[in-house]
Amino acid sequence: MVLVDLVAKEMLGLNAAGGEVWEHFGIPRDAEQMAQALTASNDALSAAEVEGFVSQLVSLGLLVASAGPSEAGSLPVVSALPCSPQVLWREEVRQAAGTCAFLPGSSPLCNQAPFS
Amino acid sequence: MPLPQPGLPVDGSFADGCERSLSLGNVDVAICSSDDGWLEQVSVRYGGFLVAGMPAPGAIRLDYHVEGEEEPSPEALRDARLGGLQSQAVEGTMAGACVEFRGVGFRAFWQLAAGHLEIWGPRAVYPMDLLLQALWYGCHPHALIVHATALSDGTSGWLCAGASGSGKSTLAALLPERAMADELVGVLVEAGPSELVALPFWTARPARVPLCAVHCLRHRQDIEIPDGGPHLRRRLGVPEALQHLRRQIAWPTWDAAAMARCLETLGRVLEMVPVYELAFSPRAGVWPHVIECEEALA
Repeated sequence: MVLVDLVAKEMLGLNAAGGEVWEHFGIPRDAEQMAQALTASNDALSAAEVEGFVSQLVSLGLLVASAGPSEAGSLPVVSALPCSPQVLWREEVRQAAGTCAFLPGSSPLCNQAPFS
Repeated sequence: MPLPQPGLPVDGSFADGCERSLSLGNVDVAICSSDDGWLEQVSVRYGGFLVAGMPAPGAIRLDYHVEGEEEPSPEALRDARLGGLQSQAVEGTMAGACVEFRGVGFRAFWQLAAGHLEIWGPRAVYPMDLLLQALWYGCHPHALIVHATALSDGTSGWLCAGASGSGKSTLAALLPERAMADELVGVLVEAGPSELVALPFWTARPARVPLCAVHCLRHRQDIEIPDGGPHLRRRLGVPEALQHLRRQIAWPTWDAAAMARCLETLGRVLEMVPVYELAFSPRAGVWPHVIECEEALA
């Protein structure tokens, strides 16, 4: 799964397990209860791994910690995850503004003579 | 941002006072300004893409209002270009849905239903450069702008994408008769095969051809090329292709809806079109390695 943070101008790639966990955060969730629900159906997954993933998303600004009520009554049935949820990569998303097309001659790489 | 309805009436009266236009994929843009100095800069910048006379029905009208007499310094121009584009929807205007764009030193309003884009900025073409990208992404539901060189044999096209210094301009210079565009290339995914579209930035000539394959260019020194082989080429799977290409997309970060469409479009291209990694020695003999590709899916 690919997430785009337009405020931070970043793109993040989650692995399959991370994508599945992310899908369940469309409504407010309690991270601890979420971890319990996930680990109940995944023997190989520890609560610490889930909570670590959630903490990472919070630190990246993708999840917001809130004191409000969670919707514990609608906790998901989570199928077996293939691996631990992870953020695989994180990159800046850029407009075309920094390319040689917009900055011809601005650096040695942008100095090549165009084709005729 | 909702997709606009291009607004030029069939009788063309909407383009009164507009002396030239340019084609941007499926939409023509009538360019209008009372400032001769700005129009001269437009002629230099967009050269072969400009068409004199009345644009086709359905065109978007672009009015440019020059503010101030002084032209920006080269340093100011560079900072302004790097500033990029931001936008926000403006609700409840008299003319219906409208989007406001802002960049360094300019602002613009796009009345979507009327197909009318008005820009207020300095006597410089960078605001139009930036806003043509917004028109491209706004007018085409499934489109990309890729940091790449496009090559064509006249009936098919090959997209050669890569970071600065990976050999895009070198390829274009080695194969000038094959080169469609250098640096920024449009990709359209509609009914039928994906298409390469030359965009009017930097060096390009108007052209539109079916996309046969994508090459992710690598610095030759970064890859171990076997003895006797001046070129190295291998097919990439979708995850690896995505890893390469996502860094070469000019993303429409000013518009969340356009970003979502752009991501979906990239996924469709990767499913339909073979993607290769290509490292090459800088000699014209690279052409057979560029055009060798498996069938792209319609």
